[in-house]
Amino acid sequence: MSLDAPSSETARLAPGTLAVLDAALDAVIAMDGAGRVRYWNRSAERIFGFASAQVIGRDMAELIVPERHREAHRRGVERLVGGGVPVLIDQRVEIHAQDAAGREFPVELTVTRLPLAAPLFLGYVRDISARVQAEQELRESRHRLLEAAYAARRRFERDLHDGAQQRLIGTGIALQLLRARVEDGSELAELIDEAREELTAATEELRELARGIHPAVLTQGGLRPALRALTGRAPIPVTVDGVPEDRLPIAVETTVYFTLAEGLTNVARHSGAASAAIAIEQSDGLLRVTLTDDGRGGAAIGAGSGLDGLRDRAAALDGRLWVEDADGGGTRLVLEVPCEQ
Amino acid sequence: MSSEEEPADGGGAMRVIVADDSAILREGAARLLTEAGFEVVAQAADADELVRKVRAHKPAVAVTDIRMPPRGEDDGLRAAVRIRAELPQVGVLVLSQYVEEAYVEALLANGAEGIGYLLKDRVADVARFTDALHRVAEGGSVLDPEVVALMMGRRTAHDPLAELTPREREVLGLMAEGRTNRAISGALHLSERAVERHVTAIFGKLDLDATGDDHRRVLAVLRYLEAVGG
Repeated sequence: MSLDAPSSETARLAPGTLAVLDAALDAVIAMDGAGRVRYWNRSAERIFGFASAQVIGRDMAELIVPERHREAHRRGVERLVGGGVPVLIDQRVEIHAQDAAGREFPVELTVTRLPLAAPLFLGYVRDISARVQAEQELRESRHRLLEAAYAARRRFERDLHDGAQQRLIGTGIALQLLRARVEDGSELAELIDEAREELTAATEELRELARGIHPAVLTQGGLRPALRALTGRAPIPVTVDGVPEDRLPIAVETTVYFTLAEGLTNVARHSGAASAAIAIEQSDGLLRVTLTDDGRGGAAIGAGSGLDGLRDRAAALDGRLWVEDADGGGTRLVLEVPCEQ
Repeated sequence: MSSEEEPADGGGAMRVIVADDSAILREGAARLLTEAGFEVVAQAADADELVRKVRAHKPAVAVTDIRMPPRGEDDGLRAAVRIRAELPQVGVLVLSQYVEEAYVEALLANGAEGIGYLLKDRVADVARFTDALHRVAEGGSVLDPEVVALMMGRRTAHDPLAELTPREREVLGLMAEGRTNRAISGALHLSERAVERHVTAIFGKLDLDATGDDHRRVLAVLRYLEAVGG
């Protein structure tokens, strides 16, 4: 394979250099200032399905740049040749290329300019289909894990509701039946009453626990009643704005709910705020949820904190969770997750 | 007339139907009520069975869990609303393991007469449970103190309840639970006249219409608390 070089300068590339380029696992392609292919290594042949002899001297954009990107590519080449500010040079970028069969695939591209009088650019192209696909699978499996975790919580709450909680109440009824058979003021009556008080406390604790695992009202009615219940229990006034009329995917609803629950707990514990406001906006396929307090500010998401775990849940939905200073002091917790309307 | 159809007021013991998908609770509550002098004319394990049996037996009160089959969501609540709409002579007492304002709203959307909403654990307090049944059967309203506490406790930037004295707040809470002036006077060890004075003061401060039956008082208080709660 030779570097088809009409100019004497490109011929200065020693045969040894070409052997090195041919041995590279990445596609290496040389392009001149007119956008024509001047060199095409073995990996380029393999990756793009064109033999070197087929492509030398042809317009590179026509060969491997998807049609929708060709205009931008040509403008970029013109800018480079005309001495304009390079956009791609000496950087690693991820773009789409296409092969001889017209199949599009993701590649990582680096372009360097050879130090020659006539413009000559070397492009190093790596097919990253496998990596991109692995990332996609990772994202999907992470999403599925979150869904599975939420489903497990819902099941757990339901099991408590249908099992232990019912049994405790059943026990309370049995104790009541027993108590009715015992004389008031007797030692036995006193013991039964003590047991009933303990039972009442246990029932209440279990109820709070179950609510914390997954509030049933969230499954049944969605964010609106769930946030109402949440803010109703907050120790400071909390306004709620912009709750979507329609139900959202359950994983999104659940993440929003628990983020706000954790956020409100933090506001109550650490911020010294007198009030807080929840706002939900939905636009361009993005759901943006903010919790803004009027406290002392300066909050951050600490490692291992409840919000730290929720940041992972947001990421599992391809979203983000962060804390920022609110205008006029206070703290704003922001959750953004992709969510089609 | 089939053997299942019985007159609504046969005299004697109050007739009730108990619905819960948990057999332990259903049987337990039925037994408790029987020992307390009620007649449990039927039991139901799901919401559809409840509606069917209420139509057949026309009891004084239907006691139902909220979360029940067939869907396993708020089926019992929906059945209760349906029963009140279809058979106004049948009171409903709804039991729930959680107090939710959304449930209260759905239940009271078309009025508060003959409707009760209690936390399920209250069943084990037989005096309270049977008192609630009687009040609902008479067309009154009963709300769990937790509901009232939740609604009164909802913090707002401007809190009009702040104008009330601690005693007036106590009286308001009991009113919202559906208590009569007489019952409130008993609970707070006040004369009935003193309670009346408090009630008048409360309605005045909160700008509510004080006239009407007990369930109208409950509704007025709740509407007010809801409006404040936003």
